[in-house]
Amino acid sequence: MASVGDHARRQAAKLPSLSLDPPPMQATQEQLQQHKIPLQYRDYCAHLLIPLNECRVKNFWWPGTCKHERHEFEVCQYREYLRRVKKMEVQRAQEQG
Amino acid sequence: MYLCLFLFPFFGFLVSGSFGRLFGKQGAAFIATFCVCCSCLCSFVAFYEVGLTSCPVTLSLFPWICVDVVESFWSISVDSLTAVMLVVITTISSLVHVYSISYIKDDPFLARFISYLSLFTFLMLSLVLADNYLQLFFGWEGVGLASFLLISFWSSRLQACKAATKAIIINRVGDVGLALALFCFILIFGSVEYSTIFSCSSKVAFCTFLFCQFKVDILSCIGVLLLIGASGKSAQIGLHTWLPDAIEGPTPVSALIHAATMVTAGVFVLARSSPILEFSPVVLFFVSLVGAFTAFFAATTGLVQNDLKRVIAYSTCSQLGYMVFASGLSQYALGVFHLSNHAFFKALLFLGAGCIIHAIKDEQDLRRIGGLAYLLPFTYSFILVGSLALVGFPFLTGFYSKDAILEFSLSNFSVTGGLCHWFGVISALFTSFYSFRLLVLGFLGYPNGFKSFYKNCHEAPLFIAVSLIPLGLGSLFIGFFCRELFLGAGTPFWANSIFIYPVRESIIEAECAPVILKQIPLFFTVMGAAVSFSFIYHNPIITYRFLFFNQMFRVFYTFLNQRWLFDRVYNESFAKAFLFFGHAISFRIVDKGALEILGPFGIVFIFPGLSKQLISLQSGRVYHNVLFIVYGLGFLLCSPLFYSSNGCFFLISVGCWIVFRVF
Repeated sequence: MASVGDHARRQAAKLPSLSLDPPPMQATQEQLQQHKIPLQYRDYCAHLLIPLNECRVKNFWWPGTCKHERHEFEVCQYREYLRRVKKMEVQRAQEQG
Repeated sequence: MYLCLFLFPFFGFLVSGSFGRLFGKQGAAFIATFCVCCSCLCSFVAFYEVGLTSCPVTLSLFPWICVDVVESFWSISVDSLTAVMLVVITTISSLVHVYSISYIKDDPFLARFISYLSLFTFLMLSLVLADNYLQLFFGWEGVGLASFLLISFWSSRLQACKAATKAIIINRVGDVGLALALFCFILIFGSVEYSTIFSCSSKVAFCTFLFCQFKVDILSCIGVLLLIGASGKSAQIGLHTWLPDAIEGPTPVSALIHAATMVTAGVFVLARSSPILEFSPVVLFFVSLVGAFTAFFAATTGLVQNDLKRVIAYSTCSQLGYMVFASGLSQYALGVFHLSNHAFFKALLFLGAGCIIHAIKDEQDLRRIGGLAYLLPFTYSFILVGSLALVGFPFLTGFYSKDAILEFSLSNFSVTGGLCHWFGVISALFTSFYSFRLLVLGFLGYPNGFKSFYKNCHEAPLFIAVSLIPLGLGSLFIGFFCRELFLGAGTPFWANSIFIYPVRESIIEAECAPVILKQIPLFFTVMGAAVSFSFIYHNPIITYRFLFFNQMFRVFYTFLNQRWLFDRVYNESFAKAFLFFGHAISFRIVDKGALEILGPFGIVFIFPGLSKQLISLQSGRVYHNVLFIVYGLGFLLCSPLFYSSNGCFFLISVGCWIVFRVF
């Protein structure tokens, strides 16, 4: 049975077009502070979290709402996760010569 | 409003406790229940204001203890974490109050019982509303005391008194940990305020102090002490033995204290102290390990218990283990989410168990009941809902938190995470087994009780039914409605109330885990249910034959039935020694010995003897009288010398010389 790491490596390998360079940081520090984005989410997808959280607060976190915003944010996070995994693979390969 | 939220239960306690005779037991109970319901209403408003609209509130009421640099105010501080706890505590407490009005209606001391419940609620609120560790400690000790009073409410029952004593003693062990942590805060931070401590914790991270020539990490030391405190209150392995015994108290007490509120205080403290724990990976490792072992140990013990309430109590212990190991994996929000979900379905299970006990003349041995599904369909349906929520049946409340805990442990990428995951999964299997065993033995199996039990069996009265319905609805829907609020990726709900070190956030990793791995807990749950049905329901005779004729299995069964022999080991190693000390030394030598001799008993018997000796000095002989005159005169003459450097020595020498010369 594949572990979480193996699964992620396989998924990352399926996306050869995935760049190893981080995407540009779109949300500014002021925006992150203004929208009270949690520290651990101040990453390259934070600009998508801002509208998602606005939508959540507006709808009182009601289930079934903000589907589009959540989907966009999760896709971004997933691609970012796979990029990190791929980068780690490259680093490991370089270390092993 | 916040003050009303806090003080309403105290008012209810005062009225029902002091004027119970005036209002009558039912009147006092209604007033106290009304007060707690008002507090519950305020809690929901506070949840909306603080949690949903992100407006934390702090009210400083009055200075409490101000010594040197330490200043502690009695305050009310409501943030998202507190708001969740407020809703859980007051909702469950209100429903338990309503339930108790009917459940204990024949008891002449109903007013006293209700006043204890209100006191407990007030103290629990003071624990969660604190903005400093000192006030938290006040609430912490207070709920321990209220728990003692409630467990021993039926004080004529020996087992209840023993259970209450055990609860308060074992809780004291944990309290020592919390008290020492409090002293450490004062020593290191010079403050007990959350805001000061949490903002400085990153500054003292990885700093050490010397203790017995060993370098000890400051935050690790504090974290371990907090863990000991949390283990005592939240019944983690080693300090868990009080919880299963505490079922000797009335059933509403079990629902309120030992399922929904008091036992969650430890988990609350861990979540509240997240800014400290996050800077100490060692403590997090221990927290997760303790939680995982507790979940596993309690689940195995619950497999073979025959007391209806004891099974549920071990289930509580096991679920608390899940909450603690979620906290150890830095998923405090998840721990609190499981805490709130668990409060609803566990309170439902306990109150449902109370309905069964009430219906069949206080019988709670699972082997002596059975076939109740046809006689108590209303109670059966609620117990079924509670059990399904507990085992994590898909789309019920427990599923959203328990499954998430196991997913997060899977994606932790550490040995601890893997260990916790597999302990958790196996515990899920056992949880499913004992939950369905309870349903089979209690409701579906062959009726094993006396005929009189079944003839007079009746459903719950109105007040009891009314309190079960909201809990049932909560067990069905709370998880679904609150999942996004509590666990949504990047949710701003928790704001600053919970701190997670950024690298430890693993929600995306958990989401991206292979589907087959995510389905393992569900597979184990189904397997547990299937095994339970096939062995307990379809083939009970074969099971019992196997149990009796297989030597190894019987030993294993006995080991689990005797709760891993924890109680026996504690009794042999600690209890006997302490009882000996308590009786032979503390009672016979100190209380009945030294204190009696130096105290009133001694005065009564020593003074007549002394007075007899004094009387004997009055011999009437001249040379005796001359001796005393000379000695007195000598003393008067030499008294100025008393103040000189050698005066005392001179005085004693003269006195000795006179006495020697005369005699």
